[in-house]
Amino acid sequence: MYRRQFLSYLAKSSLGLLVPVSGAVRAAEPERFWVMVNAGGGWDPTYFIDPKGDRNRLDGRGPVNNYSVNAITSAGNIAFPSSYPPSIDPPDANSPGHFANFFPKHAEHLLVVNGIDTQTNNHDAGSRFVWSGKIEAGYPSFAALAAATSAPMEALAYISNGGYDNTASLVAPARIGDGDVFQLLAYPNAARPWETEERRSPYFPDSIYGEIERARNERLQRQIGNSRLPLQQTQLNELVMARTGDNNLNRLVALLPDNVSSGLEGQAEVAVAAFASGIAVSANLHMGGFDTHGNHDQNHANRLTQLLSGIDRLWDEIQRSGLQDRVTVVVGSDFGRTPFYNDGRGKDHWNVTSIMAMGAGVRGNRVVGGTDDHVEALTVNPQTLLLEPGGVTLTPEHVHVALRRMAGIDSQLDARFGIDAGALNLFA
Amino acid sequence: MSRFGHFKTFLLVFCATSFSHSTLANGAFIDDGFLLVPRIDIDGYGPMELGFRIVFNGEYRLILEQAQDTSASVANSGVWDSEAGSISIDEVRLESGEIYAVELLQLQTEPQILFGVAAAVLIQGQQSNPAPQSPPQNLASASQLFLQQCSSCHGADGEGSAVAPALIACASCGSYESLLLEIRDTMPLGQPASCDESCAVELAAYIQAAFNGSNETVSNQTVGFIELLGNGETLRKASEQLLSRLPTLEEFQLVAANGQAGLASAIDSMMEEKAFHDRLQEIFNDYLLTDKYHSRNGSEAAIGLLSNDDFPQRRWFDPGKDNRGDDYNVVRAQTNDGVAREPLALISHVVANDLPFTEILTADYMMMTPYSARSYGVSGIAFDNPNDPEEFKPGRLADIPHAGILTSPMFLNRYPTTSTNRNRGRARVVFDLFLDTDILAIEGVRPGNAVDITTPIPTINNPQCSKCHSVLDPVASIFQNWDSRGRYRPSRLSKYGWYIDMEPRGFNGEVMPLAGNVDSSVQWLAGRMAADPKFPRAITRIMVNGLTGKEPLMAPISADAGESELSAYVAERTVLNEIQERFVADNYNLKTLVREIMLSPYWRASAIGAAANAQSFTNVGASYLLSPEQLDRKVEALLGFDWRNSLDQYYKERDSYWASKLGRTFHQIYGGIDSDSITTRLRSPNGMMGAMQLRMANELACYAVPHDFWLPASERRLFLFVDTDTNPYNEEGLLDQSALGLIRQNIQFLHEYLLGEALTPGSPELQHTFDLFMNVLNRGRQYILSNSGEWWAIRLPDSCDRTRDFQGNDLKDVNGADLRLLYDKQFVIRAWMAVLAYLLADYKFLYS
Repeated sequence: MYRRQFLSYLAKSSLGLLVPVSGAVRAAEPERFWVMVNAGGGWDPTYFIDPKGDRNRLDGRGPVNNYSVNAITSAGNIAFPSSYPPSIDPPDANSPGHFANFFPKHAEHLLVVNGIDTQTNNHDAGSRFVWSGKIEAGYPSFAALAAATSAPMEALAYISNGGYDNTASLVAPARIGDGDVFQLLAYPNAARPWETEERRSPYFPDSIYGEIERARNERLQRQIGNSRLPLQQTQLNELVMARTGDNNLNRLVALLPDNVSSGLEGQAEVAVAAFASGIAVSANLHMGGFDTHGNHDQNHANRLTQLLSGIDRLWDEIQRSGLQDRVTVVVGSDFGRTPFYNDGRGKDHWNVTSIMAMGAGVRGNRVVGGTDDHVEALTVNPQTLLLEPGGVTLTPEHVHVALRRMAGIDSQLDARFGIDAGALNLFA
Repeated sequence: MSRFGHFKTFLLVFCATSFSHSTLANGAFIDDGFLLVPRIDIDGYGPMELGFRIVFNGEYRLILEQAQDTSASVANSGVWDSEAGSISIDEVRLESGEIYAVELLQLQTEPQILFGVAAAVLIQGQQSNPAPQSPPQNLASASQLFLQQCSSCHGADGEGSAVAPALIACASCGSYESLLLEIRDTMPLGQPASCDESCAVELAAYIQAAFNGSNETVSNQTVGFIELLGNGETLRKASEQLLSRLPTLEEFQLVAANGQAGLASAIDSMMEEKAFHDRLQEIFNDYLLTDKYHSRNGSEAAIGLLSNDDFPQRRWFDPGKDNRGDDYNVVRAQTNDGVAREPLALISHVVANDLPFTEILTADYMMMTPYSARSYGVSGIAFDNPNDPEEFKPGRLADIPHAGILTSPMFLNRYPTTSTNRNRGRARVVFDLFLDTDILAIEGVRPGNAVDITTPIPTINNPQCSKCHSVLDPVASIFQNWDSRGRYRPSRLSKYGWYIDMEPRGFNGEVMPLAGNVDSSVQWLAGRMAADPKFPRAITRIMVNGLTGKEPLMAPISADAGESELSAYVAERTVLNEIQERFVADNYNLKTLVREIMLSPYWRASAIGAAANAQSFTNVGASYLLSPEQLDRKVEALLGFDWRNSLDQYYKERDSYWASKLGRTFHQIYGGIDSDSITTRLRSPNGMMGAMQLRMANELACYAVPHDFWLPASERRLFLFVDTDTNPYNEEGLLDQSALGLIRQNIQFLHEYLLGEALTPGSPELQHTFDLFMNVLNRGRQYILSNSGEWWAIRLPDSCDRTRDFQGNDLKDVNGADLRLLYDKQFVIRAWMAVLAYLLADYKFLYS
């Protein structure tokens, strides 16, 4: 039963609160976790995972990329450029986001799907399509569906750091601030929550605070019973849900690094700690800056380095927590960028894009799909997934049908937010 | 006396003298201050005629003054439920002609038999909307015309689509004439010439007959189930939501004397206050997002967008690194915010001066502060106070054709463009925000590639592209005199000119006449938009969202949409259409729009009739989770300080906006936006937000209770009836009934003051809170006893005690006196802290 349905049930029933607010009785903890990493603005797959190089196009529009075609190499089956365009200030050679470091380290786990047609060059529509599987408005992101399927009532069922996070009211997305706030929130009765238990200086002695909490909860129950406005009933139930899991935040605090990093790395650290503490199911990780209409080569290299560094940290954290067989990571962007440069050394919007995936349920060291020299999508055989003229053009719909199957999305939800596309075994 | 003082006095008198609760009252018929009920059957008495004197003490109450036998032949007026102490009266006719169904609740029997009104449901208003008068038509032929001209966007059943609104209860469907004009002048979108007058006549008649025949009936039936807040409750809700403060005594009196007219008048007065404009700007920034450039997001976030070529004085406040004074950073931020807030200030200016709201688009000026004017290099503006960095006045940039928000540097930078985007992004936002048209909400999968680089001019020649671009691109071309950085650079003066492979400048199918408009095309567009019927609809949408926490319902387009969904949509849309018409009729005065929304049943809803289908009312009501900004202001208004760290440290950042935890630490966690990467508010609390609510309540209780007891009695906000020595137990350890009465009285006051919840002396809720107080007190006394009264058992938590005042003065020695509050020997203070922690985490505190 997902959140809205649950709330609706509560609102209609005379049972009032079914969930113990103290969190004393909890549903089974989620077993599978999902991270969606969004490169906001529209990335350029040809810069790294669908490399073309500096061979000039036949139509006179110049090269697709400014790095040498001879720099294209591979780690396992994953092709990538080993160097950057000569005109830019390249990333630190020791950065985990440098291509030469990232791909050899992760190729074994990495699946690349190229030649995905987003059918749009608009940011909103592209982001919506890539992360919900539908170009129409109003569909929940996959991460929201996953959270709604397995643990919609958990405190942080769906963590969103930005990007497309429409939930269609299935779950309440949670935004995360600095890591320090978790301590404040994990111990709401403590003036010094960062201290050891005996030095936390409670506002009220524990037994008395228990009385206050009991009174609050009973008052909520009475309010639900007395309300005769459906909107208020829904809101009161949401309030109950929001307070159900607060006692579990302390488990998250215990699992966070001493100093949570900034940027994408920090988002990764919090997400994995939330998974490990059993209070989250899915997370959107987000960084922007990929909309490089000007000075593309330098700006895009900077952002890709940050992105790949963040993914590297994410994977390290997943492994450190022993969750590599339970977390699936998908990395994507609004759409692609033009296979040629504009007058400002930038690249504009292009409908063909790629995704990367790694982790649980993903068979790595593979590239599925592809594009031609002008970055038009090539079609694939729906059974073998090999490139085949006259086959299927991959779209975000195929990606999401496969994801939903892998996640075992609730059949009612799957039907309610249906996707009309054939099932391709993209990930396994 | 301050507004707060008035209200406090009012509550003090109310609680001290009446110690009871009441709400709005009416009767079977009301005449000269009396409610007369012709017949009510009373157990043991039989049919009685009753007369109630209506009085007002904060809110309406009814005193039973007449009761006499009446004939059983007189029609029964309602039901007296002696067990529940209530009277349900089927129909009460007001002197104004309105008829309500009313439920009275008995509040006391001694010394008078006193009633309040538990519910009042309007079942017949004064005016009714005549059904649209459509000329007789051949509907069969009109149906064909509709299918040819309209159905591809609006749907064959008029249910609408993502690219076009529903025609059921549409904004122009209130009258045949207005619908005809809209079709004739604006439809089909971008090509109105393809449907002439006769076509429009036929279609308007068809749309009215086919989709709108029963709207009024459906709306009346649906709205009739909505039970309304009383005028007093509505007043408090309005003042809290618009101003983040409690109503004043004068406002209560205004409502008491004049009923709903007084309420309307009070709301109008509230809109004259600065706090209303703060809220108004928040509402519009949620859409414009220009606060991205506020100094919170970068000291010179806005100034940095101004071109140094155009505005060489933009950093006038900087005398050079070595010569900066102490106020450099402050003046820099104030200047920046004068630039950043310019479009929002224009909205406030238009509203404050009762100008037509269309002027936010058509203003041939922009708003400047004394500081931002210096950045712009503009002088000669007659500021009331040339040193007030927050005073905005109209000003003009030389040789710039201003067009309100549309040419604001902040708006143009917030929605930038590129050489390939060619202002299409700006055009999309213009359609979305000011014309309620989402160009991008395109249904279905587009065949083929979305990026066509083979067709010569795909946006014109590829029908898949031109469908939208023929609407979008003429408006995009309109902005050709404004470059990617929002600078005015007339395209005719550019070496490259404007793109020849773009649609010419125009709007809604009309090509812009070049004569007189070449360098001022956005002004031409602003004039067209101001006259477009979609503009008031767009503004209504924004204000409904701002005042109710949710946008108006979309037409149910799903194939499995039920009757209840359609009824809900039709009823709300019909009400909003009427409100919108009043907004337009009052010369686009936004205050009229705000007032009418707040007086509508959708804003005042308190309950739904028992017989109603709840599915039709899921969107009814204006309760919403307060934004962090609103909650911040509410805390300060009620407690006298905002949520920071210990009050002993308050003086250190007394004037800093950033010191508030709701403005800083928890702003985004609690669903706030930064207008940059986080642009949508969270409306439902998650686990983090739930935990934050509890922490806030605990911390504020810790700070507020000792602080209030520490204050002189005349300055207190919370404890008007008790002191720290108001102990339920006397020296013999026996219950002190006098003290208990005062404690109950103060609890009643706190429910009213903090939650807007008027409780009667016998209210179960009052008893629950009292039980909490006593329970905590008893446990605390036991705690002290079991620790032998050790100092640490009687000492307040050190973050809660009072050792410094708000100026930072040490209270240990004030003219030889120790004014600190450190100890709580009887656990009384901490018992009140528990009550505060309980109330401040309540739904009624956290939601509007």
